[in-house]
Amino acid sequence: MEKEIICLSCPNGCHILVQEKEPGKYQFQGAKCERGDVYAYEEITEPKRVVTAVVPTSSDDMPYIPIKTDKPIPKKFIKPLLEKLYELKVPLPTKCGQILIFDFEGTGVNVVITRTFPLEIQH
Amino acid sequence: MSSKVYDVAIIGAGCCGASIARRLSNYEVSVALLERYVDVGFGVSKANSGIIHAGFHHPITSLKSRLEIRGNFMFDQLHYELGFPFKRVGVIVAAFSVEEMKTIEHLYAQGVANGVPRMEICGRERILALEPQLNPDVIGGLFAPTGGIIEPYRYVFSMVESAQKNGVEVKTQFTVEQGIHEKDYWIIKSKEGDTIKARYVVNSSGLFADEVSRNFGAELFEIIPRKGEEFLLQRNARGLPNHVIFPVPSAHTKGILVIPTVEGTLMVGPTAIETEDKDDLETTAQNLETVFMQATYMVPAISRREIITSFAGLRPTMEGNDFYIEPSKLQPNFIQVAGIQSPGLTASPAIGEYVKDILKQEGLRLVEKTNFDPLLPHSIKVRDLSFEQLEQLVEKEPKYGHIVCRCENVSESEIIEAISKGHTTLDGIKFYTRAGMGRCQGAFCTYKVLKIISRETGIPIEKITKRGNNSWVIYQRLQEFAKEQRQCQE
Amino acid sequence: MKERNYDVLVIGAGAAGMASALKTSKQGLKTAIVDREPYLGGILPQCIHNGFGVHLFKEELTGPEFAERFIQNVVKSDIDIFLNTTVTNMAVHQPIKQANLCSSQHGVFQINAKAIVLAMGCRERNRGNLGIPGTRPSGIFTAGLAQRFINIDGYLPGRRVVIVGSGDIGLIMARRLTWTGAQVLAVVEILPYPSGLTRNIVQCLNDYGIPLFLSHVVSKIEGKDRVEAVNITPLESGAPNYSKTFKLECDTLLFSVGLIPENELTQSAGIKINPETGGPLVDTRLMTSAEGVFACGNVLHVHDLVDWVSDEAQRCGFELVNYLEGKTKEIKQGRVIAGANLKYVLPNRYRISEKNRFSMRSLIVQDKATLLVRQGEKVIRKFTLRNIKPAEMFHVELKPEDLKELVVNGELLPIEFSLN
Repeated sequence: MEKEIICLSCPNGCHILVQEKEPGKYQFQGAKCERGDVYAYEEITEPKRVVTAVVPTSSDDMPYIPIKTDKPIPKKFIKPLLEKLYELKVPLPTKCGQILIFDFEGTGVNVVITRTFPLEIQH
Repeated sequence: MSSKVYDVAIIGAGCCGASIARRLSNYEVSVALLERYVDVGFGVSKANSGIIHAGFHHPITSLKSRLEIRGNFMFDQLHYELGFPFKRVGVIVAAFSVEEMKTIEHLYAQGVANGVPRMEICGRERILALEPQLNPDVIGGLFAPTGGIIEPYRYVFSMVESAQKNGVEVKTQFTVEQGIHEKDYWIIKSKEGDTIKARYVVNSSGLFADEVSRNFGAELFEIIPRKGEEFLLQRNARGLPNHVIFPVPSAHTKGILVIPTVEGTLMVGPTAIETEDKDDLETTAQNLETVFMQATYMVPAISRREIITSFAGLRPTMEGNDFYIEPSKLQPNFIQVAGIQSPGLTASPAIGEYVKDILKQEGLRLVEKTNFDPLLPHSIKVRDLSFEQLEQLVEKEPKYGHIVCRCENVSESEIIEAISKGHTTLDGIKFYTRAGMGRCQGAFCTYKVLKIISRETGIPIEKITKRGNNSWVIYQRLQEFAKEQRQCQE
Repeated sequence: MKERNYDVLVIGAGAAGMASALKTSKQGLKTAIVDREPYLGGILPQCIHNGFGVHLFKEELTGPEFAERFIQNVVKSDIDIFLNTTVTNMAVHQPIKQANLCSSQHGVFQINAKAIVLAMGCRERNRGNLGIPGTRPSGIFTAGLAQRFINIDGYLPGRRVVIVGSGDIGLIMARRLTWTGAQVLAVVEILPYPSGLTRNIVQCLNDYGIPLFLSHVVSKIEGKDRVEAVNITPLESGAPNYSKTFKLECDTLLFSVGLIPENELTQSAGIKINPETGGPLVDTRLMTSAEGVFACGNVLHVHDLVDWVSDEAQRCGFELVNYLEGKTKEIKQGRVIAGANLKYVLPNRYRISEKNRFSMRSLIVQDKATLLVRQGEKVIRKFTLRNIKPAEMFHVELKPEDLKELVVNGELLPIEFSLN
């Protein structure tokens, strides 16, 4: 098997050629740094992405609040995660950094709120 | 079916229908104004160039010329009564050759015969002094100071509003499909399933006048849509002239004009291309080229980089090229108002009067109302106020301080006013207030306008449309859509 | 008329406005910040994806998180905040500047300030600007408006979407829409290469099998009430080949075709505009043609990364403080010229009293390029640059020792940048 992967670790976007010599044994070519090989291996075996979305709240003042996964989550969990999010109703107030879902489906990935609302303006 | 029989049903709430309705609202008669679209003025009138012609383009032998001259004179009074934007900026016809100057002399003579006041034939120096934006190759031209510009949609809105104020009933989304004459009245059926009765019918249905006439068993004729594409350039655009600038006209069109709109933007167009489809409002790349080539020939400073939008309109033309305004010879109490192409907008106030007289001749009893109120309260526009005036206003009504459309400076109160007058689509709000008509074309204000419509009317955001029918703006809430998707899969 | 007096008025509370206001307020200047929207942060709160802050904070943040780093400081500071407030006009050619403001919340009032920072950001180019032929149905949005509908209001604008333009906003929206369950049928790009970052092509398009049509244009929009289809035509040798036009049935069309600095207020105040950037002309202090009026962020020139906006805005705040303290009232400056293969260089002036930081955009795509700086005829600096493309800004610094004090007619000799 041969596959070209574009590394997402940094804006360089190296094109890495992955060859599977025998089942489970891979060879990598083309990365400018070692992070590339690590990325390519992961991309072949279990690709992961950071997911960002919005979640409904219980208030009309701010009907949706943005969230993110605190680390990349395996791609196959993206759809179940998004579906789960639409079933929630987040109570206000929210704090940026607050954990909304802890360890989603045993992935070790948390869903974190990324906006504080309401803001307290102090003067 | 309601047993009420209206004295008059007017089919089509464009500039003619609106004007006829308002004229009749001065009398003790019951009037229904029927409109197929979601809002009035949304047919031919919406895409009008907004020019009040001086009246030198057509010979006095034509009906259209007589109504044009008369209509032009009526606009000062209407502007005073109704407050729609109107300015007599004057029009110029620019000539670039000796042959064209001969046409100018002809137009001048025609104008004088028609009774157009204060026209001038200008030499090069005079025409450039009047209009410094003109190509210096100009050799002379015609100047008619009585020509002007209006906002066509705002004009129709205010005519209809005034008519309503004086008792006319407006029925939108009433697409007339059939008329049956029974006893002494017409039974008018709509595609939407409504029916009304009226003793007299006025067919001012623009592009659809031929179909309506046929469906009432009246004369057979054909309306040929002639498409005009126009391009709108931003406020303070380069080359913005002081007057409406015409080229020397050809046999069937007044040509590509350069128009300083009454609200400060610059418009160029329209093209004149016959089409078969009454829904054909497409613009094409080729016509953009043509329009700009001709416009920049007259006014070289115009730049297509300043285009904010383009649109197309259809003129309802007819064989013979004159207005067709007369009682049907085949059916009783059926008045044809068809083939109203340019200068229909200019002529429209006079058409109102003319049709009123026809109805009278046809036996409609017209007794003047004692309580006719010609005046509308002039709506407040934040962009026209001084800062001091705005301060006083916002103290009384804070929502005038909330600028919803930053490009055209439209406040929340103005949007609410539009909604209260029945304009509940995005286009209705746009044409009433200008919110969304500026340089960003609604990128910043669309969501704010949707929210205000929803709040004021209770219509959910997903149900608000751009201009009725299937022109929805928002599909659904995210979580509702997710649910729908899941159900589809299951 | 109610009047309020400040040292500094900052117009716009996005990334640029907040960063500059924090700087001036921290130096003890009485600062007011004004924004039309009901919240701080400008466009950032709707940019919920990650990738912000890599340069400034050395970590990948989402837009709301990036904004929040500044918002929390602004609300804790002495800055007076006027939200839901519009500046309608200003008088700037006098020592004390006056701005007229109106608001449903704060009423109508005037702010008098010793200095003004313009930080109004930009707007999106739209269908009308491109002059795309066809009908004018509902369902045509700029990518930013669609982003706002989805990420702030939670509304999906349509189910079957075609995106015009392969800039990063367009690509991010392709993924965002896919995640909502909508179908993105294609991204159409007029250029032969994508305008956005490679990583966004991979993670926003390739991940979901969304086709990217390079060297293609939308040649026609169809649909009477709502968008029904678009015609897509390939460009061959720069011209559309209509015989190869194909049709995609869709209900929504998004435009991500560039940004325009929002300078109507600037122009109406009589401040000079640079036609290359669409923003005001600024000198080495980021001061516009009106003394005491500064500009930073996207209102000055459209940036590729918000990190550079914040960085520029902080410098702007710093320069403003120096100016009001009288340190830079009279400084010797020279013109800066954008030469071969450069769209523009900013600021439009340089000085020799301190270091100069320049931002610029290339007109060419090149793996490796040399940037030459000439003062008069003489080449005074060379920079080697990698991965140059029009979509990405780059920055260089010139130190006082790089430059000679060569004065012609009371001004320093112009310097010219050129790219080869």
